[in-house]
Amino acid sequence: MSDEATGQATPICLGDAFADQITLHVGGEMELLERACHATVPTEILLAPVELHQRNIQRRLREAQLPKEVFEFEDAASVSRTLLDQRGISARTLDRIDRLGMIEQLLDESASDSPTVTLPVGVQAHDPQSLEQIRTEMETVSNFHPQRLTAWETTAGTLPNPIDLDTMELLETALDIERGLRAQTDKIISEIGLIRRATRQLTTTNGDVWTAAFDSIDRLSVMGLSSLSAPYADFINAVVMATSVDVHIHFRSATGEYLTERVPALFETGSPGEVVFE
Amino acid sequence: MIPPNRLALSQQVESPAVPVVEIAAPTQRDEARSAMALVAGLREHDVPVRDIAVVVRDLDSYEEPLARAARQHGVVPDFWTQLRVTQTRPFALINAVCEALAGDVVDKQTLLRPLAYRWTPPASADGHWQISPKTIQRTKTALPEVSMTRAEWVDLVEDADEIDDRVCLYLQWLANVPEADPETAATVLGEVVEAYAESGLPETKASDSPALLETETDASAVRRVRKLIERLENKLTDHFARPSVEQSWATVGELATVMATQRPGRRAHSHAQGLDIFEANDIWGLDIPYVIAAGLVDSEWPATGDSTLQPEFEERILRGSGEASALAPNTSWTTAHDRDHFADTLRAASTGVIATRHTDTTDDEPVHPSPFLSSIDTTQLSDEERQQLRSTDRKLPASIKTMLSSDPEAETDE
Repeated sequence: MSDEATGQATPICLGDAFADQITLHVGGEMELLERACHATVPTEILLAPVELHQRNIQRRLREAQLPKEVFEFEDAASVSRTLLDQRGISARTLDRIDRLGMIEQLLDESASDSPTVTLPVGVQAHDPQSLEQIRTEMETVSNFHPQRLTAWETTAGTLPNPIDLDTMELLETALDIERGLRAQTDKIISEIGLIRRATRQLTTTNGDVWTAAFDSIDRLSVMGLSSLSAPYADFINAVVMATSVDVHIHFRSATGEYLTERVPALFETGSPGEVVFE
Repeated sequence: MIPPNRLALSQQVESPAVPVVEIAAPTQRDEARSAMALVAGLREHDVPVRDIAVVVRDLDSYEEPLARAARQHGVVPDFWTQLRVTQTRPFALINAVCEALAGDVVDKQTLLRPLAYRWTPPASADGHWQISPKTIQRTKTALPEVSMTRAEWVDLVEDADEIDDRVCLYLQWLANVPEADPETAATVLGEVVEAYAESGLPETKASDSPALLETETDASAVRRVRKLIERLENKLTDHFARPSVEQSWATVGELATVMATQRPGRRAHSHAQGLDIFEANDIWGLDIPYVIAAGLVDSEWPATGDSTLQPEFEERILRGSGEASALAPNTSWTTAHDRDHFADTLRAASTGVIATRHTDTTDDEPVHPSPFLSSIDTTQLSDEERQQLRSTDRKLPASIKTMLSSDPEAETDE
């Protein structure tokens, strides 16, 4: 890896609470090799959502003959599961096949008690995969947060006709599907839903779940991302609000400069993990 | 006005700190062969295989030509990709069994398909179960073009002398399979795949090339199908509980297909000496001397993801002015997402990058280079150098030898 990988670092300031606690980087993730040392307990979580990226870091550590025990390799869903465990909250989660089956059920017009789903133009009632895609894309952008749904409507309203109406309609469809899924099961709807539940636990317990699970951790490094989804932003926001852990987000070279400027606004959404459904 | 940070998503890729050699081959097949000839050439100069990686944007379009070219050059590839299990024989077998069991009546093609995918009777490994394609073909010709119940097919073949006994035994087995309830489905399909593991898999191995690529794929597929069947029983219980779902073998087959097409974890072959072949996002973080980036053609790399949102709405979120700033932008709406992956592909190389592309489709339509190549400095390989690389007395081009001389571990012959 060439020298240019040592990237620029931007601490972000969003009021006193956040000053210095989140740092956004472009590149520079492999400085972790300098932090590798022997330790009796891990002190840093390496949050790499792509599974192979975790393996790649482990390979780099191995090639450099460095110990890895100071690091804990995780993705956000596994961290969330551990957090929920502390409170004995079930982390039973639907997978995509379950959801597709349930969406099909939702669309079954013969079942009288099934709620109405707004179908956007061009989407067939028999196309659960498209509907699931609409639900997940909306969730990625908004995390179903009430403030962001308002922002969605306001932004859609500034678009020319008929794009404004189509965009509003997608929002309705996504909410109908999510509501319909929630009505059918006690399980968590998806891994993103799991992360959201852990996000709320972090703030409502004022960080107690974190301390119980990760007492030795003082640094959370997020890496390998080309975007920061709303669910991830809210999760990180809650970690910062509820703990004193230092958060470092390492973006990548082509999107990093853009994201460094664009992402701080995502942390301005208050009460992370809040959703319109409850 | 476009805010400056939005423009930052359209910046060009910078040249890496190491040299880049560009190979333009006529077709995709030639491109794959040139890439693998280069791997073989580097190996001949004592470059360890772990010091080389091949990267493509999307293995769907490159796995087959790269695998074929690798075989020709005695290279064992390790594809870091999801196994497309629906395209493997063990999966085709259980799917064919479900289809042969679906419906009240069945035609002879559907009836005999499981035999073509090496159905063998459960718990029989006596080695007599390799029905040749010729036998299956002969049976097919002998049977009438009708749709009948499975019991009627049994009656028919039992009276027909020209039908192989093993076909009769198979049809009897089929006719005796009970109705599809979740437990039965899991048991029956489980037995089918175990029988395949015992007799179908050794057959693949016997006819495989020395690198045992097919065997490896077949064996991973057996493991995947076993896992799928483990999950199938629970899924079916939920699925059958829904009033609109018919409890049938047809439903079992459909559900198994849906489950098999889910994006699973990554797999890799287990060879210690394999050549790593990655999709571009997956090389992130690695440090490898020689990186071969293949498929650098327009419309292949970069590409943008398919989204259900309107492009105008995406643009508002990307720009993020006013209330839109609260909404999370997704860079895969733009080519910047792919540019991240390409930049990290270049960055992973510590000695040199070899960028390959092809210039024509199989129908002789021109294929343009990827726009990513236009902003980086490359040394083009001449046609003559490319042919020498591909010839039997292989010669590495001068530009590659220069890379070797900067690599302390490799040996140069000059």
